Order: sequence, then structure tokens, then C-alpha cells
Amino acid sequence: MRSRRARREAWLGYALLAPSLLLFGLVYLYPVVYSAYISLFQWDLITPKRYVGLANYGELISDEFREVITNTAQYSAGVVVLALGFGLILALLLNNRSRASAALQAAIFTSYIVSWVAVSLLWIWMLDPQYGLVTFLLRQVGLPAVNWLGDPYVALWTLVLVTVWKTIGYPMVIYLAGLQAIPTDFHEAAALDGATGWNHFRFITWPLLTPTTLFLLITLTIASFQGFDIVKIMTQGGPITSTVIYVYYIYEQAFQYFKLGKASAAVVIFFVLILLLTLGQWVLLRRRVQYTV
Amino acid sequence: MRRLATAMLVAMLWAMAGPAAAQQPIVAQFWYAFGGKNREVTEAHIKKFNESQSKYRIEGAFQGDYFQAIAKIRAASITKTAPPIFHVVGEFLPNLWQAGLLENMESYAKGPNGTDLADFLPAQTQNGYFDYLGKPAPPLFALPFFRSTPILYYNAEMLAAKGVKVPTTWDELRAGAGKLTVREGSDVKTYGFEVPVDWWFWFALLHQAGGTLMTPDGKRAAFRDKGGEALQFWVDMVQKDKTMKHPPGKDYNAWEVANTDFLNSRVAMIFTSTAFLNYITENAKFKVGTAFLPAKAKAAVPTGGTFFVMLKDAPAPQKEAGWAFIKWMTDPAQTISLSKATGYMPIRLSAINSPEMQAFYKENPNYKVALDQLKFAQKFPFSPALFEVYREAVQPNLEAPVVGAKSVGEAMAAAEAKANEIIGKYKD
Amino acid sequence: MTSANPFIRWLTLAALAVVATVEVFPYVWMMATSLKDLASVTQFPPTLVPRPPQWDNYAKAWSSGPFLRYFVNNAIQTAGILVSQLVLGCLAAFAFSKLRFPGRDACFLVVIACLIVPPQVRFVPLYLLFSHLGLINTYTALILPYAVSALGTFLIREAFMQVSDDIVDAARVDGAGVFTLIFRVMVPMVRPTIIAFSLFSVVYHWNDFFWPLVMTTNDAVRTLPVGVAMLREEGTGARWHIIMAGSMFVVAPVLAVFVVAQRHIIRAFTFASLK
Repeated sequence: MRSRRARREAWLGYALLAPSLLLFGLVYLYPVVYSAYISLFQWDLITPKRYVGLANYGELISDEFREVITNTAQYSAGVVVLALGFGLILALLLNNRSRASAALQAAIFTSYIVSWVAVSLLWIWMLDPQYGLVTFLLRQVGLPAVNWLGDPYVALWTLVLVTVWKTIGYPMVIYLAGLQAIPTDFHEAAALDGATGWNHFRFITWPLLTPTTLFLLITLTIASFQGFDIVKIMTQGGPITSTVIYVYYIYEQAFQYFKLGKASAAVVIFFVLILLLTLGQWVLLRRRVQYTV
Repeated sequence: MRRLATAMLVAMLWAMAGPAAAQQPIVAQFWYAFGGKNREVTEAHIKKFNESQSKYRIEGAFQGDYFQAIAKIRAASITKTAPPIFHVVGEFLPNLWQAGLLENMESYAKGPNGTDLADFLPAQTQNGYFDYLGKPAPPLFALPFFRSTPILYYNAEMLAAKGVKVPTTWDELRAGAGKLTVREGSDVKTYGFEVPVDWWFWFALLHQAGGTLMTPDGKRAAFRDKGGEALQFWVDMVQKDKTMKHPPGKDYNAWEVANTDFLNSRVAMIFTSTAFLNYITENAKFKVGTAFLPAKAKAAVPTGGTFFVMLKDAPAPQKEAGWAFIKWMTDPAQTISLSKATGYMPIRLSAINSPEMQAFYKENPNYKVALDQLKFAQKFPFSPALFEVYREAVQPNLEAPVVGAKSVGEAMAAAEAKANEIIGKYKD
Repeated sequence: MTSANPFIRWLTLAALAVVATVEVFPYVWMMATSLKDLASVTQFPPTLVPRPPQWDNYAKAWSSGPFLRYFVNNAIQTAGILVSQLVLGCLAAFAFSKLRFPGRDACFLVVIACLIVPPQVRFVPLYLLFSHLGLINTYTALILPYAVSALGTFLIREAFMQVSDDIVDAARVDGAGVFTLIFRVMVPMVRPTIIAFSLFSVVYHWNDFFWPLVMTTNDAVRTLPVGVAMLREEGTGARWHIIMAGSMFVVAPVLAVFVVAQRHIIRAFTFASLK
């Protein structure tokens, strides 16, 4: 009896999954497999492929590639920490039904909605060390001008800040949903017990938000590793190579240098790295996730 | 009776369809990689071409920025869906020709719908663009489209106010920039000079210093010393004198910053393409002057812009249509209208000598500068390694010394090593 | 979060006001620039209010290409992707969260793995594949690559997991078929998640420039962001006022969707917290 039911359930499970898995396989995994294949060749798209075995991988183990990985790690860490932190703070502050909150949420979301091209120009102007608005404001309070986008030591962090500024609506909304999902019973019980402010947050709110936090941690990490638009539009990898992050590097190799083989090898390494990173986050942290207190 | 009527109707329809079918124009796509004004001008000309005859119909299609477009062409050529007509920057041509992608245009040019090749301005043609390194010249496979040279733009009012003469040598440029820079405490309010730290301008300075890119046989890089001299000139002005602004961004992003700064009177002199002459003159609130690039050991400029090419693998009728369009676009009448609308140079001698253009130049002397400067045009080596040397060896190594992250010596050594590695790959 | 201390309340409000201003300012700037004339665009110091407003920038942007067709194509693409992602996502999420079968977690790993693959990586292989199949310049080419969403599946699965099994069993006992169970019982219970994800999907795909550019070679199924990109002139700042006007065409519908969605989100939040 049980095994028949189990088989029916399995059948149902596979049937429900089939269309999704088929499509995932075709449009997401096939390109990765294809890249793995191409990574063994040198190919510029117009002359025939040339088999080179693992030479592309060898070529990638270089200073240039190491810098790409460091840049990407820095960018990602900066974005994730700031986005999680500020997203949570904003969600906590705006977690009510007031009109003001709704208006503020809308304001924060407009930057998320607008395309990168539209806002990048504004930011490039505002950050100009000669006559930008930010420079002007800094000088008003007696601080020196900073070459936000032209200084190789600063540019990457500038991109972190602009990214957080533009995408903060996403963690805010997810945290809001997470906060709203906490049944009010918990809050009431805690209030009855006399827990206030910080303790309330620490023992009730935060633990119950851990599933949301884990989710955001994973998706923000993945999204930040995939960062591309901001680099393409604002710095094109410069100054020098200080803002070349991983996906931009792949794009450059493929479409500006026409080294499909090398780009594909970078894709394979990227995939493996992120998979391990994500698995690591998932396995290590899922035990810390609480669904109840 | 009804049958007869039906038969007559069918016959009538058949008769109408017959000549109509014979009049179906051959459709061919022209893929281009620019937006804005250039796109509008081009589309207007495409429309004019289509209206001027009924045998061919050209459809223009925007394909993104330059690199996205080339990537799509390459991908499309694999699946045999590439368009017959495209445009390419000169540095890419040897590589594409070597790969067998491009159509030989000789028979078209000399055929019934041919064009007078002798009427083309030599410096702007394929043969004028390339130094064939002692090897036999390849056949015609590219005709000039939008062609340009870099020129010096200056704010005439600023120069007059400070009593600075238009510089004709590097030393004069440097001295002039010094006089024109305005400082407010430790900040610079107006820079004397600005130029995108970019291959094209470096190439100009390389030759002005008396150097060349490769050895005459194209087997080794030869730019280390003179290229270093060129780069050092910029480094000194940015780091030591602090009279030159280095615009942020790569490729056209930096060019845009330089143009915008010039228009905003934040810089007195810039190097940029003659292609922006229309744009700058229309939007400047001051008198704009133009001049040759300053010389050092000699005067020298590269030419730039793009060439029309046809793709070999396109079906013959489409190539026929493509050629008709290319020929028409490079005819004197069209080169005049294209040039006047954009600032790019006309490419036909008869166009330049026409009363219309002569009158135009008299009224707008700035437009003649690039043309006159062509006598100093430098050739590019016809090497399949050319664009890789440009994108991978030289361009990435120009910025570091200007920003102060590397010495010029180190950068040029790295560039030379990489260039030789690339050239070595193409040895056949 | 309210604090009894009025000073802290005031400080919090001030901080939030700053945040709101910083976040909204670019949009306001975009609007202002879209109404400027050529000379004011690159002028410094910049003016915020253009006098007089150049409304015909919008006409120029709209007529620079077949913008109506781009608009319609954009809507078809975004809607097609969203519907597909939601339907397939709900089916898969249900299987992952409420069913047990061998290989379930391995399959979920596959979904996570797909989260990792960025669009730039998929271009060449999918372009070649679609080209061989003659699918370039079709809606299929625009929709299929995004017909499933790993993020959506992930999110909906998490939300479904919080729906108590009792409800599922009760519905089953009542004779509900699988589709009724999923779409009539469970989906309404996870409305905030569905709406939040829909918002992200719509914003992303409506604004997407790269994919429609590379999967199309002519105007037939091109979308608005590509149309706006065509307004750009490389190297000059001449067109920014028209580009901003064009960008407003892209932004306005999404903003409208957001405003509507926000009311639903708030209502959905209220409903959820009362359970």
C-alpha cells in the first residue's frame, strides 16, 4: 500500500518537474556543457577550432586572472554585506502600514526599476572629481575631492556603493515579506514576557528571519558574482583592470578579444567555484536556520 | 459562361502577378554598429537608395556597439545567416580577410555597375590605409565608408585671452597647456589639454616621434622606444605638469568625456576625431578652432573610421544588391551629403573638387583641416595580428603609466613582449 | 519599529528621508533631463528644472524607430516569460516541497546550479542552436531562454514549505486534484512571494537589453531597451535628453506595475499576518 502510494507520488513528482528540468537542461546547462567542450579549443568564431587540450586553463592561471578573482571577491563581499545589512534595517524601519512607509518603499524601489544606462550617466557626472555634485558636497564640509571612478584603488568600492544603492530594494522587499510571515503570536508572546527592543529582535525576529537571510545570502552572492552591467556601463573594467569582475572578464575575452576557448575555460571555472561556494553556504548554514522559536 | 469568366479572371491575375513577380526587389541586409545621428543619416540614405531604383532593397539593422556587432557577424557566419553588407574598422580587416570571410570586390568595381577607383582619395582607400609589408597586395575587398583623422580642437577665445598661439609642436602644446591651465588652490578649474588615452592617438604620437608599429617585414614589434616617448609625453603632462586631464572610461566613453569637457569649457584643447566636428561646432558656446596635430620629429596622423565590406558566403543576388548599395553610397553625390551631415571626410576627389564642397569649405574652414592633414597620413601594417596587437598588447598598457601605476618603460616592455607573442602566433 | 524616544524617532525619520531622496533623485533627474534641450544637457552647473520643457523630445524618441512595435514586443516578451516562470515554477516548487521521491534533492541541486549561469555565458551556444533551428528573430528566442526561473522556483518552494501540511492533506481529502491544489489552494496562501517574485521578473526582463539585442537581427521582435540603445551616439553627449525621454517610455510601465503591486503586497502582507 505504501509503496504504491510512494510510486504514485514519485510519478507525480517527476511529471511536475519534467517541463522545468527539461528547460533548465536546455537553456542553462547545455551552454555550460558546450563551454566545457569549447574550453579545450582555441576558437575565434571565424577560423576552424584548434584543439589545445587544457592550454586555456593553463593560460588562466596567471596574475591577470588572480586579479579578476580578487576583484570579484571584494565586490561580492562588499555588496552582500552592505545589501543584507541595509536591506534589513530598512525593512525593520518600514515594516508598518503607514502611508509614509509605502511612499518610502516606492522611492527606494524606483532606483531598482530604472535601467542601468539611465542612471549610470548621472552617477558619472555626480562623481566627477572636477565638478560633480558629490565632489561639491564633500568640499562644502571641508573634505577633499575623491577620484571615485578614476582611481584604481577606489573605483571598485565605488561600484559596490552604486550597486547597493541601486539594488537595495530587492533585499528590502524580501525581508519585508519575511517579517510579515512571522506570525503575530510570537510577537505577542514575547511582549507578554516583557521582551523589548533589542532582545525582541535578537531572540524572536532575527532567528525567525534566518531562512530569509540564508536565501538572501545565497542569491545576493550569486547575483553579485554575476555583476556585469555596472562595469560595462560605468568603467569598462578600468581604471586599468581594477574593476574587471568575473563575468565582465568572460565577456571581454569572448567579445572583445574573440578568445572563445579561454572565455569558455573561465566559464567552467566560474561554474565550479560558485557551485562549491553556494553548496558550502547551503550545507554549513542550513542547520542554523530556524523555522520556529 | 461562368467558367470563361473565371478563366479570364485567373488569366488577368496571372498577368498582373507575372510582371509584379518579376519586379520583386532583391532584399539585402546592411548591419551597422552605430546609433544616434550617424544612424539617422545612414537610414535616410538607405531610404533614398531604395527609392531611387526598384531592383534592390536594402534593410539597415542596428546590431549594438561595435564589438557586439562583430560577435554577431562571426556567430551568424557559422550558421550561414550573415548579412551581405557590413562595416569594419580598418584594424580588423587583415584578420577577416585572412580568414576568408570577405568578398573580393575587384570584379564588381570593374564590372558594368562599377565605380571609378581612381577617383577615390588615396589615403582613404584600402591601399592607402595599409602597408603590405613587402608582400603582394591583396585584391580590393573594402571601400571607405565613414573616414576620419584625429585633429586638434581648441577654444579660440581661451587661447586669445591668454595669448597662446595654436601649437604646432609637442613642446608648444606642452607650454600652451601650462599657460591655459587655471587652478583654484589645489584644484584644477580648467585643464589646458585632454585626450583619451587610446590606441588611435598613441599611434599618431608614435609616428610623430619618428617610430613605427612593426618592422617593415611585419615580423616583430618596433614601437618600444618611440611608443614610450609618446606615452611619456602624456605621463609628464598628467603627472608632472598636471596640465592634462586623463578622461575616465574606456573606448568611446573616454572620448565622450573629453568632448563634453571641451564643450563645458573645462579644457582648452583636445585631440579627437574630425567626426565630431558637426556636433562640437553646433553645441559650443564659444568659437571653435581646429588645427593639425602638433608634430615632433615629423607630422603624422592615422586615419580612422570604417570600411564597407561584403561577406563572401552571402548568396550571389544579395551580394549584387550589396555592391549596388556600396557603390551608390561611395558615389560623389552621396559622399558629399554624408560628409556635410556628419563631419566625416568625403572620399572622392571629384566630390572634394566640386563647387558645392569648395563653397562649403570656404564657409566652414574647420571641415577642411582633416582633409588637408591627410598628406601626413600613416599606414597600418597589413598583418592579421594587427587588431590583437592593438586590443591586447598596446591598449591595455597605455593607461597604467598615465595613472601612475607603472613606469612607461615597464608598460612598453610588456606591450612589446605581448605583441611579439601575438605576431609569432600568426607566422605562416 | 517605533521607539518611545522622540529624538530617535526624529533621527530615524531624517535618515529615511535622506535615503529616500538619494534613491529617488536619479529618477527625478531622468525626468528633468528628458525635458531639456540640447544645450542644457551637458551644461554645468546643471539645472534641475528645464525652461521651457521640451515635450517634443518624447516625440523624437518615439519616432526614432518603430517604438509602438517595440513596446508591444516588450510586453509580449515580459508577459510570456512571467507566465511561464510562474506556472512551471509553481509546479516544480510543489514537487520539491510537498512530495517525496528519489532524486528530489539532486534535482533541486540542478535548479540551484542554474542560478549560477549568467546570461553572457549562454549567448553563443544558444545563438548557434537557435540559428540552426531558424528561431532567431522570433518570440521563442526571446522567451524560451527564460521560460524557467531558478530564483522563482527557489522562492516559491520556500514559501510552499511554510504552508502547513495539514492544509494540503485537508484539500486532498476534499478531493482536490493536483492543479487545483497548487493553483487554487497553495498559491493564494503565498501571494506576497508570488507578487515579489513577479515584480523582480518583470523589472528584469522589461529592462533587458542584452538578450533581445543578441537574439534579434532586425526590428521584427525587438524590444524597447534596444530601441533606446539605438538613440545613443558613441562619443558624443548629444542625445542624452532624447535617450532619457526614451528611457522614460521604458520606466513608466514598470513604475505603474510597481505602484499597483505595492498595494497588493501591502494587502497581502496584512492578510498573511492575520492568519
